[in-house]
Amino acid sequence: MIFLVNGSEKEQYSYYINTMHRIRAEVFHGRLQWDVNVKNGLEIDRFDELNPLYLLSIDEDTGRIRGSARLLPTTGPNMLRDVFPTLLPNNEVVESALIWESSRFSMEPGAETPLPGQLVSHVTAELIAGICEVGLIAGLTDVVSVFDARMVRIMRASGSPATIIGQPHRIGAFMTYAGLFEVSETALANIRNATGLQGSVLEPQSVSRFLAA
Amino acid sequence: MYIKRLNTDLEEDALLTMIDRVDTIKQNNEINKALIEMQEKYSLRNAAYMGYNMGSLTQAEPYASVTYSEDWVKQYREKSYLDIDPVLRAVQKSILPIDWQSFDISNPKVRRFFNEAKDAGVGRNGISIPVRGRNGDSGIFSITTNAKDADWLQFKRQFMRDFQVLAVHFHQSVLIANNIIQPIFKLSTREIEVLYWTACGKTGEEAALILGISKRGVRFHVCNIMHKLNCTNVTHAVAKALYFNLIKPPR
Repeated sequence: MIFLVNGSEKEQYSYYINTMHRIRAEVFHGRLQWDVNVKNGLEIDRFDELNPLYLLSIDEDTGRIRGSARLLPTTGPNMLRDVFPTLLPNNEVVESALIWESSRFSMEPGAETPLPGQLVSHVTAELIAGICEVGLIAGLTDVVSVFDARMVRIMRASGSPATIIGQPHRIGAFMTYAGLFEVSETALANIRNATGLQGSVLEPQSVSRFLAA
Repeated sequence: MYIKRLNTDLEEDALLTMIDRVDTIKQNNEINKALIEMQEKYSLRNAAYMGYNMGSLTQAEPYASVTYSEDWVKQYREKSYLDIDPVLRAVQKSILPIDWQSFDISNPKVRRFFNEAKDAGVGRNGISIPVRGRNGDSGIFSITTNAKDADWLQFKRQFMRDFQVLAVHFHQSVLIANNIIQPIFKLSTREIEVLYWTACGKTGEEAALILGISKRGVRFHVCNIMHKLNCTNVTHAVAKALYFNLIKPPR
């Protein structure tokens, strides 16, 4: 299930948040070899200081964090605008009250492997459905994200294909894309169809802190 | 800004009228008038905007424009509620809107605060939407109604998009009215192309074919164009772009 945590609550949920930063270090520094800062085994960047909203995928049996994603509004500082402006040449910007940016989508080794007969893993499906559900709560139309070819395939397999915007760019060893994902009841239904998820993935307690039931 | 509409009982253009209204604000006293207009259009009990981190404007205290009664504002000031209002504290740390019902009222201080607010006619239900600006500036946009719980749920579902959009527009208008930012009109090459073919009378689909991009891509650019030019529809955007020489006249 997906547990929602505000960046400002990192003390209260320090165990969860630290695990997330550790997994991010393993994925982005270790596996993908991106140019990220790792300190004491934790990957933390300046956008973590801006009180983002974290989606944490928690294993219901073990209670462990298995993966995470981070959301920030595009009206404020975000990675596409401030780190990857080359992806949107000629003064293009994504800046809208109804578009948030998803970044640092990652999961621990093994959590990416789908079960037999499935196209994507449970953690992948949960995170993608969770982003769409949170988007619906906030009234968004789209979520924008910067990702590589591997993510393009994963998103397609999850029933949530990306609309590529701007100009793909080679950053380090990887082609990097900016893409939009639709947020709507239809999009959520497509994700559920493709992944076999049933009902909301959001942990009710963590949602009720924002929206009364 | 391009907005996918949900089914609403309101006249279709309530949001577009409001955006137009908010975007033409030039002075501070118009902010409150626009809030009152929005309050009437959406049958709200109250509406409030608070701005933070806007340089000297918010050095002493946050910028505020509210429709609450004078009594409540006076009481709020006298009791220094700015320091204990749980809504302000929570919303500043969140990017998700926060429903006032989600606050834990087992804390006597918080319960007393909400009870006093209710007695002062603030509204039966409320929601606060955080705004994050480009330069560390931020805002809190709140609306309240007297709706019953079931109707409130429906109301939120229907109008969340409207208020998310209006929150950002109010925030921008406060920045512009106080000369903190200037309105900018700078279109990308792609946006100029899309708008030019639109000015030539091409549909979104035709423009997509001509430019070799997807229909959704065209829609995305149109959305950005309207946002950048502060326009409520494409005709408005074409007229403004021609006026400011952003596109060449159609052949």
